[in-house]
Amino acid sequence: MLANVCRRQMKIPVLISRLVLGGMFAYASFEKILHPYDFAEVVYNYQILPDALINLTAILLPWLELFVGLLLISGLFLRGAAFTCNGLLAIFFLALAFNLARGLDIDCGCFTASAGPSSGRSMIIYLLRDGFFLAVGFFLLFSALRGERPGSRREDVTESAS
Amino acid sequence: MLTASNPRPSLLPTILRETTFILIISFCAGLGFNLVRPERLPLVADWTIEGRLKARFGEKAVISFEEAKQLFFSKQGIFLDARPPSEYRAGRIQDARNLPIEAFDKYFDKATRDLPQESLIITYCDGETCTQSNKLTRKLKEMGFENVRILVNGWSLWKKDDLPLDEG
Repeated sequence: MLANVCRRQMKIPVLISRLVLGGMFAYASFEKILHPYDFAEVVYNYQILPDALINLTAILLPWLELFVGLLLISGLFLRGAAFTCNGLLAIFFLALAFNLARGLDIDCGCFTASAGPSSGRSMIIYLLRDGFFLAVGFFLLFSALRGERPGSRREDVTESAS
Repeated sequence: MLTASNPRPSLLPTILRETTFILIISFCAGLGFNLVRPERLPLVADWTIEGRLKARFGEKAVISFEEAKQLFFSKQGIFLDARPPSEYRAGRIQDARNLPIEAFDKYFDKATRDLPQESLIITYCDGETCTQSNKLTRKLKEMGFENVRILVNGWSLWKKDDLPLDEG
């Protein structure tokens, strides 16, 4: 009973989180899909991946972002989308932190496909922004894992009975 | 007894199944779209500095240091320094003109007004990863100069080889 009340109260924050993260991922993917070479330069500038994986990442990652974004917005495959979303945000966060730690001055390429120099201050802002989205992502994943799924009604009845 | 906060054992396969599905459709869409798009990105490319410039500006985009030296001494090429004016004044390739990419519009006329569009132009900046000469090359091509080539790490190589310099 109490769990159901909590679940109902969480609906709006979960919806907002889905729309914010989903919209952000979908928006971030467009320019990268349209300009794959520019995005490949962004990936190269991170200087993390071996050369053989740069183009493949530039081709596949924007589409992964697009599908994750659309699925978060639509609510379909929500657990998988929230899990993938958190995985991507964690990878982006670690990549930014790694480059900040070794003093590499790069553009994050988060929402555009243009590669260019950045400033140390911007890198910290990118990191904070990604950290915030990661926190929202954790909340969404946690909510999605606690959310309804086949069989949950029956379990709730069992819980109430016991 | 189950409680609402307990992890439920059936979730992991669901997450894995959904994540796998998302990965598969993303990979298929990405590879498929890349296959049909006019400017297809090769799955594996040469990401050395020269390889990147050639991929972006064409096979003749990069000029070797030896070739640049020959053109300098035979006075067949115009050297354009893409760095900011302060760095240009501190030292530059002899007779190079300054066309800083950050103030391209301001300096463009002064730097190129006497140059025919078919002139051989060599752009340079400082450092292997500097992008000012790449951006300048792109701008010059947009302005109609077709014969523009990039001397990668030009300023450092020039100084290191004790070639003629200007200062001030």
